[in-house]
Amino acid sequence: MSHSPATTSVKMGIPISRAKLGMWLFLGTEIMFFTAFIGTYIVCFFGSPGWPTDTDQTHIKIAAGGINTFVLILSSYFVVVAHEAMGLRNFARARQFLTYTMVLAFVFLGIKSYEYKGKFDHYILPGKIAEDDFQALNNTVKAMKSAVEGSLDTLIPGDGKPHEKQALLTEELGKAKPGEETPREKELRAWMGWNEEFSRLRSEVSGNKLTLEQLHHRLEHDFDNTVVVDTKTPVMKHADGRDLTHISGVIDNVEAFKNKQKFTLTVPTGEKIEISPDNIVNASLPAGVIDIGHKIHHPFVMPYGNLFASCYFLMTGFHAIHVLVGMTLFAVLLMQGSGLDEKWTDFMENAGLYWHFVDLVWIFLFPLLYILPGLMVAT
Amino acid sequence: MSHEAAAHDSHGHGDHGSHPHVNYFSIFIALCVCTLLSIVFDLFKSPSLKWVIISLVMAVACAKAMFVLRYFMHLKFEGNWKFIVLLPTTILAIGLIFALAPDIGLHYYQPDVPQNREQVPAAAPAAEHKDDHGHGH
Repeated sequence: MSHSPATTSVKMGIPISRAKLGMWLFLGTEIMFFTAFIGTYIVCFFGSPGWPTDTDQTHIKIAAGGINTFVLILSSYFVVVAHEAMGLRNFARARQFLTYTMVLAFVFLGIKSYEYKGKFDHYILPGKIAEDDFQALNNTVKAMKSAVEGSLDTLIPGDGKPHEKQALLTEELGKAKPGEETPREKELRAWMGWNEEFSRLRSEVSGNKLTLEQLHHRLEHDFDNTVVVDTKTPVMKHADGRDLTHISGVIDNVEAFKNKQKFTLTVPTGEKIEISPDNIVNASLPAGVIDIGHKIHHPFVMPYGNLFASCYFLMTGFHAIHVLVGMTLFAVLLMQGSGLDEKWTDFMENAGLYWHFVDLVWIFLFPLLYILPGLMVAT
Repeated sequence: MSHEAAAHDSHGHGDHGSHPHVNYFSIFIALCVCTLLSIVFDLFKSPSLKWVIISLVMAVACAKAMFVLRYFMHLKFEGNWKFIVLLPTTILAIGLIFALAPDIGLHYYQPDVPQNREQVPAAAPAAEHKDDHGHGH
């Protein structure tokens, strides 16, 4: 087949550079990639009988999303200015605006990290959200377990299983002299009190004997007012007939306890036991010594919360990865320093196209994730 | 220094010849206005106009996308190849949602899921799989 190099009557191919065509084809596939996740979110949202829409519960901050939208739009504008400057051979201006774009990209990731931290702190994570009362109760048991074990690690540092450390703690506490307890021994005794409360909570939840409302009351009120007492003479009988000299219960008057006066304890069975100061061997208000109660995240129930969290992290996570890739492209350009010249014009254009695509995805993510759930709530 | 090398076709502005100069700053301002509009729409909490406001918010998002695509990404001044590249993408993207919707999005039955069943009282154990209609979830 003869081919005359001077022929110009037949134009083959598309009148753009190979790199640009490659970038556009890639962006075409990326559009399908993101439509998969956004489409899944839309389908799951409209297909689910319920969806968490309260932004206080889901910790979706519309202000943060709005600022991020503005940040990305501004960075898109700066990229376009930089590309224009490249075309006009003003490379210093191109580098300047590219630097602004890079800074804005960091700002975007910073705000995203702040949003993610809010989610992690409140346990809005796929697979970890309670969707009914029973799961919420179990989540609280897990939270209390990790708080109690964390406290044990602070008191008895080092490697060792919790039950080994607990044995060490009991041994150390056994050496305490009644009435002359050191501050550390007070802490150890307080931990024992918390551990008892945790065991009680765990067995009540697994025995299905606690409602969510009762748990809320326990977290908000009872834990702060629980007193653990060892007495000289038995003060009550156990259900199986044994005499008890070690009881714990909710105190009616914390001041009376602090002033070493007589006080009344309401024990779990509901009985009210009066304790007089001269009958006490040792007594402890665990919440006054170690703060575990306020470290336990309050239980919440979020129907379809796990599906929501999955969709949210999938969409925003992949978007954040694309932001990082875009930043890498800009870093390559910026690393050229004063060596940035007209040979880099196409690279700049393609990096700009990629960045505009990242902006495009966020333009759709923002209303879908931040604005639509609030509007969909029909009151 | 020739910046009009005809031997290869990868250079700056030679491809699209002369096109009207775009005022990128006005496009940026238009994008900011659209963003503010969508936030303003969010503040309307009117249940009866729910779908109207949702359509408006998505229309604003599409308008922003068009601004970025046409001006920032320069597609207004590119040739017809843009349709060849983007049309299959768009068709497949929309098609995906229609493909998923019948299985996941539409309901032909009352969904029987744990989140919808009556809250089991704390004393009674939960009855599981008694009401399984065989479609799974």
